[in-house]
Amino acid sequence: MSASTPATGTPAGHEPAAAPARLTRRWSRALVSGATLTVAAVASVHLAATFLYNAPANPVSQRYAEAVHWWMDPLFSQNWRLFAPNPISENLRIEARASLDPDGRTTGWIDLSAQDEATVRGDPAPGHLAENSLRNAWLQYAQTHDGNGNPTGPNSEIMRQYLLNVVFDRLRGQVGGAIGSVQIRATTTLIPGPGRTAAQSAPQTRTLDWWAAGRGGSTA
Amino acid sequence: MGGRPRREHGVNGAPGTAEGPLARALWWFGDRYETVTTRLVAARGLAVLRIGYGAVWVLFLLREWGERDAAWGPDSAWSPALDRAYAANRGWPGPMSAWFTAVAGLTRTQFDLFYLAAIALGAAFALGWRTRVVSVLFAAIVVALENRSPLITDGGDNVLTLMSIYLAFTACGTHWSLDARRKAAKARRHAPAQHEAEAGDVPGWRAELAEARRRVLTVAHNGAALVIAAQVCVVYGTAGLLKVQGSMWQDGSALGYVLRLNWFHPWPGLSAWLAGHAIALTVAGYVTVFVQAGFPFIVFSPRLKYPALAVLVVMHVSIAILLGLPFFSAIMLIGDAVFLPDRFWAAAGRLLAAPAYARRMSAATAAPAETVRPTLVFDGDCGFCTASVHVLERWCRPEVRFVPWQRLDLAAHRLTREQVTTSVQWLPVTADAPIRSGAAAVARVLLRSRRPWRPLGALMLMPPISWLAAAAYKVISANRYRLPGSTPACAVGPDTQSPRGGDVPPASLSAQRLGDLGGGAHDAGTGAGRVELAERDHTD
Repeated sequence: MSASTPATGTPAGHEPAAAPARLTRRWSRALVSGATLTVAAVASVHLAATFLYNAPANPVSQRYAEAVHWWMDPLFSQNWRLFAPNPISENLRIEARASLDPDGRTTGWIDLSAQDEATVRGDPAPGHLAENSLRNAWLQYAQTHDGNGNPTGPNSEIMRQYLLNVVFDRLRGQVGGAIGSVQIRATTTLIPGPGRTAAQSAPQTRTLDWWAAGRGGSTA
Repeated sequence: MGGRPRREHGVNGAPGTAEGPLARALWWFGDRYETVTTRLVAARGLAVLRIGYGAVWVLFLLREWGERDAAWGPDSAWSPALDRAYAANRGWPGPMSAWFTAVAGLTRTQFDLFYLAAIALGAAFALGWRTRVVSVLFAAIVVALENRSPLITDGGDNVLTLMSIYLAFTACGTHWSLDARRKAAKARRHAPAQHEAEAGDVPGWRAELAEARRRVLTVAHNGAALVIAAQVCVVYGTAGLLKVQGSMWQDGSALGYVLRLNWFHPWPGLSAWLAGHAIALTVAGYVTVFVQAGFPFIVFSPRLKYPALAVLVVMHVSIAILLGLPFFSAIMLIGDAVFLPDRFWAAAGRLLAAPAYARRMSAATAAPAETVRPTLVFDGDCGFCTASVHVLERWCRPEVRFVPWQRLDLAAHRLTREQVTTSVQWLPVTADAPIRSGAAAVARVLLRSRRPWRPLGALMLMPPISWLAAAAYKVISANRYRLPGSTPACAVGPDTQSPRGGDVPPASLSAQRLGDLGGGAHDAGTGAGRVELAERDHTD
């Protein structure tokens, strides 16, 4: 096993462990060889599962999909689509407005993504919330709902509630009054580039329904 | 990594006794089995991962301190109820589900205590305190916190989670750790009487059990080291092969788009300026894809590995700055460290501790301190060279002897006139270690200097900086007669140089005080009795 790992290094890199004592008894030899076989088996299974988990869908990974996911999820779940196959090439603007409670007065649209961008600007180590929370909340909502806002999977309601929570928490500090309901809209703009017409690069806005504001739980 | 490992004699005897392919195969297998059960591979490399990930974890948690509640606390947007509902939907087995949702069940005070404990555990892990236990706790706490709010994480969190789990199976505390210090101190205390006492007191089966335990742990460590290396290859290989399929990576426009993303945009002016350089971005994009996709293969080639790692360093530093992802970049780079061979880390460790180490070793071998000091040979006739040596001695105070070549028996030190008149030469303490010259020699002087200078010396030895340093040295040495402090001798080449020997270099030089290196007691010690400092691997 060590011979095949790239980390092995030359023998000079190996660590001689204390005095090279010998194992003289049968039980201790059996123990060590049993452990070696176990480690070899577990490592082989893990490497195979890791490969199939990350490889594109193919007959092998489809046949063993259930076993692979049983082994990998959730402890070893991983996703290395880092800007691949194509990087994100559109800018996302997420805005929200609130309807305030006693009189139903509606606030103006508040650009939450611009606030995140301002937070990140000039910060050598931006935080996870400013960089990821709102964007991922929107993307997950969009993935688990169709164009009309109907849920498409078991996690849809969780993702809707999460997006609502993120937006509600952000608006709460910015509007004077109790929030009765919120409305969210997202504008996608293709970044201009080679082969992209001006018409394609025009902003596209998707506006969600008004949602009753509520913090916390889930109906799922 | 440096090529195929040499065969070592294992339990089954020397290869010379084996006959026929089957016997040879059996011998090979026995040899490998012995290696895998008794030797820790990449022990120092994995210690670097331990220190790196522990430190990054502490810095990350401190960075998020003000936002900890909104990110992972009871008031997080990913509320405890959502967390539990999500775990229930995924249908994970009970204990797993309990582990992943553990943080969701904490009250605010409990959560704050948990957060402080997570910081303390990260520090203990980095320092290598009770590493066996702490590494398991570290993995447990990293997995629990990172999965508390799955939608605010990035690829760095993903790698950190996986690596913390794998590291729990390794012996990552055997080097550069409080454990190692404690063990060394204990060994020193018990050293004299130990063997007799243990042989007499400990029953045979206990010693046998201890040895079996050690071997089982060694096998587990080696398996985990393999998995860690393979995981890094999977990360880069997957990312690279997916990019190959992307039209924007193919036509070279990808990085231009990345730099125009509003979200990852901490320095808009810098990003906009870079986005204007389409050619450079195309080249950078292609290099990135080639190195990433080829990484699983490149690591088997020492010639390609180091340039590839240099490319990855540049790539991750760029990501850290331009996209505002320093923790992601640091986590990826620390993972790459597993591909640097242990002898690299051993040398790095010795170099960092060099002067102190030299003194300790010279005391241990009861040799005069001077004999274990390496030597820098320079041109005593050249005013610029002499002035430079003065500056080095005054400001860097290296544990190095400076000797003008005019006072040296060149042949005895395997040097030629040509060599010593064109660049400085570095004579290591052992005769069989290679002689270095030029920028590589200067770098080694800096590595033995006062602490602030050592990183500079290390940088000068690292490609691609080492190439730049070598080129700069050549330019300077070719033009030394134009530089301040120069004398006519600086311009003189080896052919026209008249024989010398009586010329006296400036009085303050160490060489003057120590006398000629070329003869006498120092040379008698060359060989077996000498202590080798840095040029070759040796286990310490």
